[in-house]
Formats: sequence, structure tokens, C-alpha cells
Amino acid sequence: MYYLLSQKVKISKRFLLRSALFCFVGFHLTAILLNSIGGTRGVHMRFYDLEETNTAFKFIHKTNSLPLFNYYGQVTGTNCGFGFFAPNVRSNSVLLVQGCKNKMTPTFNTHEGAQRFSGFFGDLINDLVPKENQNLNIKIDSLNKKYNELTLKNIALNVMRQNKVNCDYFQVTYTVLNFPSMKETRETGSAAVNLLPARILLLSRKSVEEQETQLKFN
Amino acid sequence: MFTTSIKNHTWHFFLRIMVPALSIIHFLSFYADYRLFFSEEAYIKPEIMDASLDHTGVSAYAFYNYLIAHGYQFEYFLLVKTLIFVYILFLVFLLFGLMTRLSAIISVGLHFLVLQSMHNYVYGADYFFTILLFYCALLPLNRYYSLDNLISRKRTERINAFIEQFLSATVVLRLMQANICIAYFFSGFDKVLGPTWRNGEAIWKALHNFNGVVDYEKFDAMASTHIFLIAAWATFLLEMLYPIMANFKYTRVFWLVGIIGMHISIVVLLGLFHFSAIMIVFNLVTYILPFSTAFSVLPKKAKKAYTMPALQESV
Repeated sequence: MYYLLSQKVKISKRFLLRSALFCFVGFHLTAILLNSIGGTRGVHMRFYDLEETNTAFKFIHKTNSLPLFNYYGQVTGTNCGFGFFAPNVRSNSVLLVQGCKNKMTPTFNTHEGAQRFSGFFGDLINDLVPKENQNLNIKIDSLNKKYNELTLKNIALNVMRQNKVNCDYFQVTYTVLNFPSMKETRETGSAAVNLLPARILLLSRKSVEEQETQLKFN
Repeated sequence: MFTTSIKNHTWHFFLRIMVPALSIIHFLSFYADYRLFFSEEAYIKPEIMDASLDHTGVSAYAFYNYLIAHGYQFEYFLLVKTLIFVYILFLVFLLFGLMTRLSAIISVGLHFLVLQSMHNYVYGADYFFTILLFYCALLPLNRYYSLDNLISRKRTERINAFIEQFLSATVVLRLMQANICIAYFFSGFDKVLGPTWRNGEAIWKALHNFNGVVDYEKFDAMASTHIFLIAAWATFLLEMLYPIMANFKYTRVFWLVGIIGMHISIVVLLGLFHFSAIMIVFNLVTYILPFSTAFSVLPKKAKKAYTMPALQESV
């Protein structure tokens, strides 16, 4: 031991560069793998409404949320989950705003704009749609749900503003477009779309505007 | 059996052209809707959008608030439009190979900032642009047909050689290959976990969602066939087996044709043009271009000048 410590260890530049390279490559691949595993597991647990109990997956989720991994992931794209259209393809949904005898929906000038909005709106609705056999007046409990509800009200109010409709009260309905399954279509021979109103809100313009202002100053 | 040697060292030239070009198209494709995404009249007001951000890094809205607090008075929309304009400007620099590496690094930063300002609306294509822009910053993209070379080839190569002591283009290529393999494997694996993919309902449903591209009623007549089941199984098998088949030299071309065919179907049937385009570029750059001399962009005369020993990339 004494002999080993007394030797002058020569660290070459090549060794240092190689070590740095291994660290970088190792870190980058670990970040991609952990995010992919965490993403897959997270989506799976959310889809089946399960709570995470496995220690290994808890550790992975915790690691992914560390500032170093989080920040690095956002800049390099390693935090991206790859479960596109999985485990299930989401249903389309439509937002309908009714006020002063006008019926309005968010409209866009470009296909890309509409596609971006529809992706986001699908996520929003996914969180707010009551599960099967659940009352439509579901209690909004989590902070996330409260935020989503506020976003939805804000979108509805801005749809009115875009259409230059000035109503004190307006109704917001978001509807899930439900298509019959392949099996149903085979049996009935037609695939007419079902409109399932997932949530109906009657809102006052003043209260939504107050919430907007509160958020701005907080 | 598993090909490791790179035959075409000019493969990253294609990356330098395609990533900035597609990214510019991607951002300009919804220019007419910027006001509905970023301004005070947007469907989601900037302050509400910003409230759900985890604030890992600097956000455009936080930067705007900072400027307002220091006495600058202007619209938030103007700031975002300026950011996008500067981002596109640096993409143009990258495209022409002007201050290439610096332009790539700045583009990564600005892309991050712009995505932060619209984080609710971000989807798959944006993530893959982030990934590829990051790899652009690591590669010596100004080596072939660049303005940097035109200004001073000696200086360009000195900088590239210095960086390649640490990180060679070949190592970056291997990283990119690993990244795309992991992406496809998990994309397929996530699908297998869903029962609707295993019975073909997922494809049926995806085609029936309104996307403004195809009329869903056209598919109703096919409900009694097995086409949706076959398509679903083909999709996740193509994706899950990608890490093996794309690396096995005898199956690579067939697999890549299958995967690119899948992405072309996504464009035609689902209208996700930008996502498919960037994925096709990712596939070509990682598994087709480096392994074939047919795609070399070097003119025969110039070959000698470009492949001096100092520039050769180690495998």
C-alpha cells in the first residue's frame, strides 16, 4: 500500500480525455434510459390508475426529477418520453362555448396550429374527464386539476374575446368524440360518432377575469 | 455481422442541411397563429401558461418580467417573436455553416427558450428537434461545404481537431444510434402494454380521429378485415425490434424501409408532417448515410484535401 502511494502516478492527457468522454457518454445514455423507463412506467400506472409502490421505479422517478437530470434533459431532449400514441390512442375532444346565442370553438389559421392545440387540449381533457360511472360534478381536488380547470375557463373566455362576444355569463361544454369500436362497427355496419359531454360549466365572465388577474399578480 | 465501420465520413453534412431547414419550416408553419399562442390575446394567457412551468431554466416569460421590472416597456408577444426570429437566424447560419458550432449551441438554447414559452403545446416533433440540434452542436458540421471553411479552412479544422480529441464524430454517431434505438424500443414497448394496440383498435381509433387529412368514413368498410390488426402488430414489432434489426447489416435496409414507410403513412394518414420528416432524417443520418459511399458529398478531386491524417475520425 505504502509502495503504491509513494509512486508518482502519471495521468496522461489522453487518459483524462478518455475518462471525460466515458463520463459524458455514460451520463447521456443513463439520462435517456432512466427517462424512457420512468416515462413508460409512469404512463402505464396512470393509465391503469395505480399508485407506484415499487422501490426501484420510485428511485428512477426521483432521479429523473433531480435538477441536474431535469435541466440536462430539457436542453438535450433526453427527458422526452417515447410512448407516442401509447398505451392507448386518445379520443378527440371539442370545446364548445355558448354565450348570447352564439356557439363558438377555438379556431386556427394553420393546420400545425390546430394540431398543437388539439394535442394539448386532449391532455387537458384527459385529466378532467370523469372516469366511468363517476358524477359529472366531480370534485376538483388536486392542484393540477385546479390549474387545468382554470386553463379551460381561460381558453373559453378567450374564445369569446376572439369572437368579440361580450356576455356576462357563458356556458362551456367539452365533449369527447367517441367512435364505435371495430367490433361494434362490424356488427352494426356504421361508425357514427357519439358525442359524450364530459363536463358542462356555467361561468360568469367577471369571476374568470378575477381569477386571471389574481394569477397575474401572484 | 454487425457493421461497425463507417464508410462515408460526410454523413453529418446531411444533418447540417436537414435539421435547420426542417426546423425553420416547422416554426414558420404556424406563423399565422403566433398571436393565438404567444400574445396577451392567446387562448391561454402567457401568465397562466408560465404558472405550470417547473422553472428549471430561464423562461421567456420570466425574462420578460425581469425586463419590465427594469423599466423596459413592450409587449410579451414582441419578445417571443424576436426570440423566434433570432432562433431562425441562427438556424440559417447553421444551414450555411457560418460560425457553425456556435450557431448550433445558440440554436439549442433558443429552441429551449421558445419551447418553454409554449410548453403546453409542445409535441413529439419538438423533442426530436431538440435532440438533433443538441447532436448538431457536438458534431464538426462545418467540415464540408461551409462558409466557415470558405473563410478559413485551417482555423475551422484546428478548432474541430481540438474538440475531436475529446469527442469524435464517430462517438456522436454511436450516441445517436443508441438514442434512436432506445426511442423506438420504448415507443414499441409502450404500445404493447396497451390492449388496444394488441387487438388493432388503436390504429382504427387513430385513423378515426379528426385530423383534417383523411375522411375516416373511408375506413369503415375495412372494419371486417384484419388490416388494422396487422398494421398495429407491424408498427410495434418494427419499433421494438429496431435496435436489433437496424444494427444487423443483412436486415438493416429492409427495416429502415419499413420504418420510413411507417413514417410516410403517418404523414399521409395522420398529417404529422414535421414529426415524420425529422424521424426520417434521424433514421437516414444514423443508419443509412454513414454506411454507404454512394451518399458521400465529396467531389473526387477534393477527397485528398479533405482526408488529411489530422482530420480522420477514429472509430
